[in-house]
Amino acid sequence: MKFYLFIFSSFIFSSCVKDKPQEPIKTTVSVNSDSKVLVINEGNFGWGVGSISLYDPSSNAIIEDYYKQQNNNSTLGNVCQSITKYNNNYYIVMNNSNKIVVVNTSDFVKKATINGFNSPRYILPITYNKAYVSDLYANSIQIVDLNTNTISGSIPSAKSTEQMVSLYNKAFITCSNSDYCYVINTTSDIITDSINVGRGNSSICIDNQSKIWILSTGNSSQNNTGKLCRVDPITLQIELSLNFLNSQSPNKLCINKTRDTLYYLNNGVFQMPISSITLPSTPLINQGSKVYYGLGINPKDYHIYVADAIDYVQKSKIEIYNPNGSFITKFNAGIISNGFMFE
Amino acid sequence: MDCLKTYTSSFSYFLVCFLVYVFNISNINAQQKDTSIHQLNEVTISENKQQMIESSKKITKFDSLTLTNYNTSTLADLLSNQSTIHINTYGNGNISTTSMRGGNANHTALLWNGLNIQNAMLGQADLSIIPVLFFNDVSIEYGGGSAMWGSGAIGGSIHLKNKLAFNQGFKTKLQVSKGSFGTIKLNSGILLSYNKIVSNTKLYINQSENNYAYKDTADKEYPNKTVKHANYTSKGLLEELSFLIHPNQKINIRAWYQNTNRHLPSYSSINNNKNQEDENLKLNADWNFTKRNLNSTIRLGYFNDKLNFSDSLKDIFSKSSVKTFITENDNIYQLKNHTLNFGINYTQYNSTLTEKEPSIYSNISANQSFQSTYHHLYKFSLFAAYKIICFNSKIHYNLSIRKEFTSQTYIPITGNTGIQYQLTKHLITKLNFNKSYRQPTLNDLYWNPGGNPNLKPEDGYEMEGGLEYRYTKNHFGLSMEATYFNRHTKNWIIWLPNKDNIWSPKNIAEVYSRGTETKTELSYLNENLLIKMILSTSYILSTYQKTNGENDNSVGRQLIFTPRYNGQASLLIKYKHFNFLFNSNYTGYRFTATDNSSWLNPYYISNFKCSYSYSINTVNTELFCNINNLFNKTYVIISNNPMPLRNYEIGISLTYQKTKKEKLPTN
Repeated sequence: MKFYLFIFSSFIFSSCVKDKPQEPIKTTVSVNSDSKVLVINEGNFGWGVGSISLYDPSSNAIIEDYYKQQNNNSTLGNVCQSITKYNNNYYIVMNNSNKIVVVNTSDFVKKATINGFNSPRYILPITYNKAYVSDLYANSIQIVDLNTNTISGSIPSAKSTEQMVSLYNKAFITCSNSDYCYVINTTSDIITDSINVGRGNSSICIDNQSKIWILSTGNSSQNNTGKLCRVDPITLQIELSLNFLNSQSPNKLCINKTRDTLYYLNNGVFQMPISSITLPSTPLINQGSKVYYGLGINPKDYHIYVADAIDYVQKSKIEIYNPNGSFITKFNAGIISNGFMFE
Repeated sequence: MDCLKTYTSSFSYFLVCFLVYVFNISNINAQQKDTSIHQLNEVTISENKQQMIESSKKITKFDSLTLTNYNTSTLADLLSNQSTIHINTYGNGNISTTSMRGGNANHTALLWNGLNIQNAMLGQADLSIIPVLFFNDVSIEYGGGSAMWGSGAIGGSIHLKNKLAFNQGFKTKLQVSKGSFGTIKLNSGILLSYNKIVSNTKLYINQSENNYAYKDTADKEYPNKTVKHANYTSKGLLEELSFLIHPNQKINIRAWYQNTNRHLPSYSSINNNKNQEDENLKLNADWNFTKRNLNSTIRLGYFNDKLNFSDSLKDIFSKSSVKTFITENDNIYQLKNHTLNFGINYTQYNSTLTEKEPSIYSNISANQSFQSTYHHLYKFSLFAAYKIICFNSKIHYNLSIRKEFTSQTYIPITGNTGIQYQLTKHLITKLNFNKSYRQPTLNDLYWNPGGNPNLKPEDGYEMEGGLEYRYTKNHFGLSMEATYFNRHTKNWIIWLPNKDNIWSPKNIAEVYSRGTETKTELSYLNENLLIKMILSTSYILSTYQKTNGENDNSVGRQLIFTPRYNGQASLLIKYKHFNFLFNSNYTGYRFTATDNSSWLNPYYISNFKCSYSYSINTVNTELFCNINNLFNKTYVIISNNPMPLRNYEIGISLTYQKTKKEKLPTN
């Protein structure tokens, strides 16, 4: 009897291995560093784990959840989509929490929350007290009063508005569920025109010739190919339209500091001078079995930052490359990094 | 207890233990005329297919007293409180799925009278909409069981059964309860049981505002919040008919209908209008006949599972429906100590998915059309199992194989083999090997865009060994069970963006799961008093084995939302008219990232149930009270999906019973 009890108890107690996971080692990053990089981490949908990481390229140090650290362990919310700097504030757009969190640029402490959105994506400051907010599911672009941090109005539009830029009193609004990019008169807040740039247009840049570049992902199941278009912001004419292959889904158009070289993801990182009239045929950086999801070009040193989301359920790996495509280093950020903000 | 000894010689040791269980309960419930001892006698020998493998596997069964205690609850509540299966729940009343032996929600087969009722599009079952009330036999079979039950039984299987006894007379019951968060539950049943026909009708309606308060640990500014937009209504009807058309022939017909309408809360959004309606109709008929040593069953099943999801803010309207047709012939041939089981099964799934076309321009959204897609999947299975009991009933050996053919892909042969050896009078050992599989879901195969029709089934290879100790003396009973298992699951399906950036499933992961499970049960029984203490533990390591790209840091790490530690303790006391049940459940850390860089804290939740019942003539009145989360703990099971704090339920049930004179069916 005792023998059997011994056998049983050894079974029971053999499983006593420490369950508590190890807390990560905290690194300190000097916040006043000249060259800090903010990494936007969406976090898993519904889990409320969107975050912003702070990376210091000079020391290679990283704070994985910078907001949490600076805000008494509060978290940002559900799906962090984008961050925009304006007037000594960062505007952090929390897509699935339907809000924009306003923090100080100096210490990243929360100042205000702008509520009342449906599914906000990006914010585009127009004047000192006015900004546009694009939205995935609302039938409008929201106008935000930056003084009171409230929604002051809206501009009826299609759903799925994405990245935006403004130039010559015009705002160019991409719209991923449409073939058109919208043009808004920023004085009257009215859509004045639209440009057929292809299905799935969602990223947009301005080059050093003051031309607008718009990248459309396409939709292979509807036989819409991806496109890269150059648009004249004055005449609103498409000056150049380059088609991708039908199965490809190019995305995340970025531009470097001197605004003469475009970068985008298309199963690898591609680099294209704005003077080119054809699409590059080979990637600058091969993707291999990685899952590139975020892209950014550091204006300080022209370094290419690309985020590997891996399986979308673990810390993204941020890889840094030289403009010639040679690998420099890599570090871990938060879950599902989709982009960067360089200081 | 004397009668137990007479059983010992003729049945397997396992069955005896089974009977001790049931007998204890039926004894104490004398006034309720629990006849499960007779049923077991009848059913186990004839049509129970589970008997082919149960001697070498770990199977736990809920006793009827526990089931009665959970009469107003869902299967998710029962399993999370009374077993070490991990239930992932997205908040109170919200979707609940299982994780057994380190598998995911797709790896637990849910069987209703032997037929798999997992949703073929999702490959899983939502346990939060299944009422415990509808079943009088619930058991858990641990480990792979595809050789017996087909696709999905990789981590384990949950068996729900309806068993009817003839000649029990008339019984009707009405139960009403009121709980926290504006919850009202009502159920009733009528049982008519005669010599040759039994009819059992049960119906319920549950309604809840479900507006519980919780503490948002992520928000330091305003942590005290209330769940909004989570109210639900659930109603259902079960009708069972059993006919003894001949001393050797029986027909069962069952119809199970239910409708659950839920608003789905969004804990971090201010705006939310998500809604889910589940409508399930399940019909099942079987004809069972015995001739000499052969017992044959023909089963028919028709299930129609509808799931309508809408999110008006996001303009998402999706309606899915899966119709399942099952025909099965199952035979058990018994010759002395040999038992042979063989049969065929044909299953057909017809699915329809209707979605609103994505809108391009808002102003024409009113005229948008709905687009439907249809898919079919056919499956044909051959299965056979053999069991022998030899060496003075000391050795039970079993072997079973199953081969399936589908219209979609090649499915390899699955099998199970196991042996039980009785070491001493009180101690038995078990050893079991199995190969199990899960076919890709209809969504994995055909989702547009991204569905991958070339997916292979997932394969599991499992070994388990166990020791069981059973001891009874006078009024005391002690049983202890320890099991070790070890399983490799290959071709595990994961959805990831492909090179064209479209999310698509692939057979890329490999998972190694292993662990130990224990169950210790101590009981005391006399005329007036039953005390039962149960302690169950599980320690499960389930780790990713294959790297997915050079930056992948998940190899050797624990699967997400799969606790390594789970412990459950319960104390049941029944003294005369009083009944108390106290249980505690500990769930260890669960990781939320595949590189194990983030996790959720463990939780330790206790529940208390008590009731008082008395009978005047043929009317029995029972007053009951439940306290859930007794110690008012703040916890989440899934990130950002808070669970309720302490909450209450009080109720009354009235039973009128007119018993016929005891007369066993001639079957």
